[in-house]
Amino acid sequence: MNWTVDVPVDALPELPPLPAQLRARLDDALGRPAAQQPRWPDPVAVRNVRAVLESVPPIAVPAEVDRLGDQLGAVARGEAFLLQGGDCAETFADNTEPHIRATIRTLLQMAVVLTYGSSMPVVKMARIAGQYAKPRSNPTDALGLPAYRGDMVNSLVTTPEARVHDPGRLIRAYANSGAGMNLVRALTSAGMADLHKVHDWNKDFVLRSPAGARYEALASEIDRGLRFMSACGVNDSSLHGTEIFASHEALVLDYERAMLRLDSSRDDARLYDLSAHFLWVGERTRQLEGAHIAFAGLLANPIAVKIGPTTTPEQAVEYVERLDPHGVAGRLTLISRMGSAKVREVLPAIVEKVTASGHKVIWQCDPMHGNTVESSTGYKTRHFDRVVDEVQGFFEVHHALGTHPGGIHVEITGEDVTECLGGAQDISDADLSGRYETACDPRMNTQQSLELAFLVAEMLRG
Amino acid sequence: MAEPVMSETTGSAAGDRSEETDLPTLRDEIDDLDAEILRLVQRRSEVSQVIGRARMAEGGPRVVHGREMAVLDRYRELGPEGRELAMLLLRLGRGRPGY
Repeated sequence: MNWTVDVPVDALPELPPLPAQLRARLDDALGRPAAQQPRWPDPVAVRNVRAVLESVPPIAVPAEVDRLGDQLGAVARGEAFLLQGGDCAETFADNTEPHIRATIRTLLQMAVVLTYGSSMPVVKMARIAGQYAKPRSNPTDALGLPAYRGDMVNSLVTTPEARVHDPGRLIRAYANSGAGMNLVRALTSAGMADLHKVHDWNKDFVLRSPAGARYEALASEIDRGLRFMSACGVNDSSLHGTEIFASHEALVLDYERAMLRLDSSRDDARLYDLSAHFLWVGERTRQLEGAHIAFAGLLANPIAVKIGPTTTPEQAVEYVERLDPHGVAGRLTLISRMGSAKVREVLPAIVEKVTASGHKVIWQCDPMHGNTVESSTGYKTRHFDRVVDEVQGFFEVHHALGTHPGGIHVEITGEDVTECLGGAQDISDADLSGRYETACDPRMNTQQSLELAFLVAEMLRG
Repeated sequence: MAEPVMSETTGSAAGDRSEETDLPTLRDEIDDLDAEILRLVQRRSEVSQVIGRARMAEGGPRVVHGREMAVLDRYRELGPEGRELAMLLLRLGRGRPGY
């Protein structure tokens, strides 16, 4: 990677100093053990990269982050639904207009169906403009090379040189994120999110899908709804545009800390991580005493923690009390990824205990990560039926407890890949090799994503 | 224009008239058919629930999407109403999704 730091680092303006208490908390957080971090060969190089990133314009601005915070408050109170999705891992090579456009289009199509199914506003969030780092189970891959940790850290190319951790990649990741976010903002405000257009794409999906018959009834209901609104003369700006928020896993702390910005425009100075609107701490970095949880606790951004099947109700309450000390509805999202065979058994006790604590969190279902298997042909994959089943189990748990199934978090792409099994196209083990393109985990393709949205809409309307 | 079509229809059915206009008998048949359909629908729902429980006991998913598609396909010859009928039959078996 030849993104060398050729700016006079010493001459760059430093960030304004943090208030003493925030500084102390940040130092404490960064001093804690941090799992899954790159091992940069040259400590001076990464310090220089951080100095560069500390002076760049942010990807998001505080006003947007606060607006998202308000909308997530509504989700936590059971008045809205959260749809979050996108690539498992973004790559520099795929940060193209067609790729971003396809992802956004698929998200918008899903959102319309979910809005109808839930009769609620749907908060739309993409895994985009920063999802360039991945935690890995093993430090080395099958070839014995250092594992690929996302384009922000090293290259997927299988040579020892390409796998060296290169801090110059943090700058390239920032540049790609800025460009990607620019396109997302432009697309959503320039007509792509027009409700009638998005619905026409959905009708097209229903016509072409082998499972179209299954979804036709709901699609025609939406159709009638739109025609009813037209007949009444409803023509609101909200029908023609929308806002899509950016999110990624807060994994590489050298990147995240360099994107911290203090907003001192208000009485209580607040610290934002403006690399995104929304950040989550992953299953592998959620150690209670670790750096990631302490770092997330400092942020004014709404944040999330992924919780897997080994999470105890007591642990969940501990996260909630640390990360939402002031009891702000929607401040914290708990993303459960239990696996379809465990969700009905493990989730209820966690939901009950957290609900009893009085904190209003968002319950979001990630039906992907707990359902990853290896196909008979050697591909890492997920079966559509398992994905649907985990979401269904998640809804069953919440409906039984009277809590709000607040959202879904999915790995999707707007392209016609063959990475997950099943769905109406009935993708089989043998089909996976056709278009298996993910840089990391298997994603649902456009059709599978839309099918999921239609099925979730059925669950939402009951 | 509609006239010839109507008379043709009446004409072609005329041969069966004696049998088809025996309304009380036909009504009895409808009653029997309904009883039979009802019994079959109830049995179908029971079997579906047994399968669902067995599958989940083995760690499988509650619903198998491909199987549901095959059921929908079966009722296609009845047209759009067939689809609705199939969806109702599925729901009677597995319940409302998410509950």
